[in-house]
Amino acid sequence: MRLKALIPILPIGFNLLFPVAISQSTNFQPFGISFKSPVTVLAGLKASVVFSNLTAPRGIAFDGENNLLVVERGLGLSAFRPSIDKIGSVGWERTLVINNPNFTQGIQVDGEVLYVSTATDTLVYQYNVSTRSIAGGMDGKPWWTVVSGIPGDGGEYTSLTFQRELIYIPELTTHKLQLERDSTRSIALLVANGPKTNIDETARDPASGRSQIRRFPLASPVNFPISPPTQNWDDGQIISFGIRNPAGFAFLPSSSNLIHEASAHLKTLLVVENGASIDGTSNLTSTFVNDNPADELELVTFSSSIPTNETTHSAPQSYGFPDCTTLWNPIADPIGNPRFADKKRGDQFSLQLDPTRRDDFCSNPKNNQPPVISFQAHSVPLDIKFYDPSFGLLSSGSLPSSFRNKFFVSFHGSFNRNPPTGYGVVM
Amino acid sequence: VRCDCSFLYPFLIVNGCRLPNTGFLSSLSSQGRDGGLGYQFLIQATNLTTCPGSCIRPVGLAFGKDGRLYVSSDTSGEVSSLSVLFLSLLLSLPWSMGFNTYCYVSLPYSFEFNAKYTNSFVASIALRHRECLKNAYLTRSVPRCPQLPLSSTWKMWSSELQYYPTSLNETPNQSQVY
Repeated sequence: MRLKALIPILPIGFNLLFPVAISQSTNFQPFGISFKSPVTVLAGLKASVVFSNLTAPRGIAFDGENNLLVVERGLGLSAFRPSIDKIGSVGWERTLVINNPNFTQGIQVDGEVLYVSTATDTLVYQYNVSTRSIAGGMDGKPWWTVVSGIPGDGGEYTSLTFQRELIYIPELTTHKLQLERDSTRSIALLVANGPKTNIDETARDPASGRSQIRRFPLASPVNFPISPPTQNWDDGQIISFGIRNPAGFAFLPSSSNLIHEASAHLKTLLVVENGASIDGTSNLTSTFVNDNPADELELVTFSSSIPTNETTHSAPQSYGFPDCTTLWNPIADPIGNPRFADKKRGDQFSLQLDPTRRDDFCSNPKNNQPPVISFQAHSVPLDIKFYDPSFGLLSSGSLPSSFRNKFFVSFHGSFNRNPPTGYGVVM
Repeated sequence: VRCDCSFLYPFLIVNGCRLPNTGFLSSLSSQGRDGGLGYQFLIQATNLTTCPGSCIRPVGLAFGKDGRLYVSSDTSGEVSSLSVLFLSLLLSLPWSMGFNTYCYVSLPYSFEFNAKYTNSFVASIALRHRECLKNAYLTRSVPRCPQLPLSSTWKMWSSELQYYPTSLNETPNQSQVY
């Protein structure tokens, strides 16, 4: 028995009074700083602030040396690692890695290859994990574009149900990135795109490039400083469409990926989808849309085999947007919208944008794949990750092994529900 | 009974043991029935009525090699981590000690554990979901991880009931599948 491994590494001392030294590229924050606004944590767990006062931190990922890389939207990319400052306080050190205000959310690290998304492109940088810096310095030149021509105009001003102001919904250009690996290396990059507008009727056609995930094969490993090839968005393989805003997705962990033992080239993704704001469509009342539609967890299966002369990729499946959406609360307004009263949570219904696409159309999985899980309306799920620890011994503070193979979803939280919902992480 | 239901249950395999992840299934089936969400919050802004304000607004998630879950929150400008309290860590001791026969059965969140009817309760969960699993359970051909004896140590951990084997002799035979 190795009890040593169970003794938590406690901070030597807190230093809350000493002002955090801000330098050009590194700064420090001691352990123990409070959240800006109180949080409630599940019994048995503990929430700790790593760093405060960042610039809109969005996508995050660990590099090979366990530095936490964070896309600070509007600023660039920063790296975090546990450290001790000059006077002996234990905390986190932040290093600004890249100055680039155009990064949106997507981030993947594959050795020294760093992938990030902007509104229109996927870029790669050459990243040095030991110095937490990129070739060419903080301003990040050169970089390479590996996917170009991604529609970058998604987003719109939307009126709130409960307030009279207009609010800009910027989540539509975030472009989640996910590398697809085989046993030896990354073989493809998956890139997401949201809709152009809240309810985007052009997304009905997969060729629109909207509300879908595309796959870009990586024919050979990136070998700096040779420029990796640039692929165009239009040439990507569509692996699913009709997912309004695929803000986060993850492969099923390898230990549970026995679904397709017989066909190893089939891959399975779990994708979180943000439902549309459906105020004013299909005679839905404001009471009804306060609790509808559900946000969704979609199961997406696609083939990663290379098409030959005889075969092509099987046609991607639609997940319903913009025509079909998911019921969260059927009795949200039984008087104003009685048509849902005999339905149940998770049922598919039509927004009646197109007279040929009514509820019966939406109920047929050939037209519209239903979600595997519904999330409360307006939760706004933005990321999903599996807990799949590969270590033998748990380290101090590890989440319990009973969380293994469970998935975790971030909820950004509602902007037009009363009372608000989300603003948390669920399992 | 030889029936492989794994295609139905992507989260079924736990450390060599095969059990239905009834947590996943019950989260599906409970939706819309009991008014529950079907999932639970690990962390959430305490004062929702003040949100967005300075509330956490989680965006990105990443697991560290330290087994903690890191969370970014854009409008509050924070990155935070979720870990286990030291006391709770002790509860996972058998895992840390190298037991590899660990497996678990997830039960609905509100379930009050009572060892007397565990077997029938678990079986009833299976019954509700798939005929295949019913057979597997009732013939006890599923658990190459240990059976569910009434006298062993059971522990509640949040939504889950964990079972720890009492001896290392209960090593699963991984070659036998159902």
